[in-house]
Amino acid sequence: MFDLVGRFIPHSSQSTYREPCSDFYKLNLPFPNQLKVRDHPDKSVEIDHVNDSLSHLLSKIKTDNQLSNILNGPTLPFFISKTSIPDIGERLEKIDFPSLSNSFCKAFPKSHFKAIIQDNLQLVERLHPYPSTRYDLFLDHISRSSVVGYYFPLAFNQFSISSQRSCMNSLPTHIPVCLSGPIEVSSVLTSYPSILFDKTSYSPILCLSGVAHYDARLIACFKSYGPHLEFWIISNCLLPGVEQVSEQWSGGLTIYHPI
Amino acid sequence: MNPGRVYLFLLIAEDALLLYNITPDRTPLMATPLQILAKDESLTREEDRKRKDQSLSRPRVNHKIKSYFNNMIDGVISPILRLKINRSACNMQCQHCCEEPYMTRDLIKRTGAMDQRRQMTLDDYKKLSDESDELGIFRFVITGGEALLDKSLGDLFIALDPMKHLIILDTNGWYFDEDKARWFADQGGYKVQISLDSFIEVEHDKFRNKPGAYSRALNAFKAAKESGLELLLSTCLVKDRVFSPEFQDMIAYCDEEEIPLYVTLAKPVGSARDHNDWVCTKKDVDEIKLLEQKYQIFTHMTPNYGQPGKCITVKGINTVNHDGEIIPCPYMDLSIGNVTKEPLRDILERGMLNKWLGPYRDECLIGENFNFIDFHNQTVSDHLEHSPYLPVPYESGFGRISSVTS
Repeated sequence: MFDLVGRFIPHSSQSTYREPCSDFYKLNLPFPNQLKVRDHPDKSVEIDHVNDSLSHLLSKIKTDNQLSNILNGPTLPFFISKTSIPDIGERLEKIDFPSLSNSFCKAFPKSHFKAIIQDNLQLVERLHPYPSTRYDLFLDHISRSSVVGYYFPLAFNQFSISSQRSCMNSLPTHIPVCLSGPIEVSSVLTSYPSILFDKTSYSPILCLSGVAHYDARLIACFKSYGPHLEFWIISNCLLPGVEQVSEQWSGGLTIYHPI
Repeated sequence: MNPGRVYLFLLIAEDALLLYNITPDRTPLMATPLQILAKDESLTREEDRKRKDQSLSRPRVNHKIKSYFNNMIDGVISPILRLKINRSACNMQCQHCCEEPYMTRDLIKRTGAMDQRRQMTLDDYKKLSDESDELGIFRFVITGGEALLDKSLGDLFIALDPMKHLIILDTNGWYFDEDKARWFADQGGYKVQISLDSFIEVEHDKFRNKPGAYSRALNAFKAAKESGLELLLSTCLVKDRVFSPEFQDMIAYCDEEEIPLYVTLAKPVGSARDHNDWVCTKKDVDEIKLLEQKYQIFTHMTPNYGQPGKCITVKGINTVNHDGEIIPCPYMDLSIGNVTKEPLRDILERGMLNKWLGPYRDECLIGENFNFIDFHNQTVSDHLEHSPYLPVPYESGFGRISSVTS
């Protein structure tokens, strides 16, 4: 299911930029093989318990015939506290973006974090889990308990958004997985703010295809703009009636475990 | 902008920004309806001001701008059309010039004769203006070489119709004195872009191979302002120049004079084909993106009209060569079709569906992507072995690249 670089092997019906996949865009991975979180803000959960849970999850992935190759690609751990804000947009505005901004601007004082929405309405009540991505199940889990997991940012590298979503039909159901979305990706970027910031290479655009905007033409993503970090809601249209397929866009897979 | 605060910008179809200011205690303030604009958003505020001006002076242009803003989410594009006129004749010979291979003086040197291809006529430009208007395109840049060498420039403006399109003049400033500035404004001209490649007089004159070029350019800025024209300073950035004291002096001048500074990246094409050492690195480009926060400085990849900064091939700009060939970037030498032979709509769609040109990318393709630069320059080199004329026709260049829908 996943190749030697941890990327989902596309079906012939799926739309990708090119095959084999190119590697012009690069992540600035902070340190190889860092598979545990170093710290987290929720002091009610012991860091050792978090990392033990991550190790347990990692073992499950390693021994899974369908998923194990995904570990050949970038693998980024995260921890999400139990939260009771059901609206994704409200949660991003109140919790995730302020944390991310503080972390990023502390690491890079000359840079900015911005959230820019190409729409005439706000984030609150505008984002919802896209059907079939299983992001609704992920949200359900984090409403009932804390969650640990791994984000695989290049799992669907250079896939169109609709093809990223259609891939989920092939993913197993015996381990909680979902197409990546803004909450856990924010958490990863908060912990590792330099991932999209490389001095010599441009970085992929991290598509958050687990969620959809109420305007189906729009998608959510994180991207760098030079030394800056930005969250965008932007058009998914290349031309009227033609979906965007970009060498730079990458969908992620999230594999997680409630604790 | 205050680090540690999150600024949420909502770009709405009307010409306004809605700003949410989330305070550190995470209590969002009530959204105010319109226009809280921090200083570093001033370019967008400028866009807003300019659009309001157009609603009074050029209502057709204003209508097209609003329509574009309303439809961009659907993937509608409205690129600038950059018209190379008068066989790119020029009174200078700049070291970094991408137009030199198109000029009569270079063709005569290489072949003994002028360009034998049919050149665009005023009727062709009129047709182009009408087609562009139907497509919602609203900007023409007139360039050369040096556009002011063209004695029929006034007739061209009439053919293009400055009430339907914004007419923007690219010039090295040599001929753009007070009389010319007034004339351009009276013809319905909207904006002038004046080139200055160094703030050190002797360096600029040497780069342009023309003593006096620097002082004429500075006078041109003054003339443009006095005539009430929109104005920008266009400068070419070579590797490391962004970190130089000279560049800081240029920024300071533009800041003091309130002239937007437009930075183009040096490209290894044209006269500079053998100058890979001039090509900017990401370090140079990232420094510009830091400077954008403090000054009115921008590149073709700076976010504008509510879209993220990105490569603007086809979607943001296309060059129309003297013979009608459409080139998807001012610095490329490969065509996507000829507007005298087929509809502009078809050519632009073909360009957008080309895998190099249409899909989203952050980097400047011809300025920063060495995979593309190698493909481009090899294609040009192969073509020049059997034809002296550029651009490379579609079938021999971009036509060999697969389409997004294939």
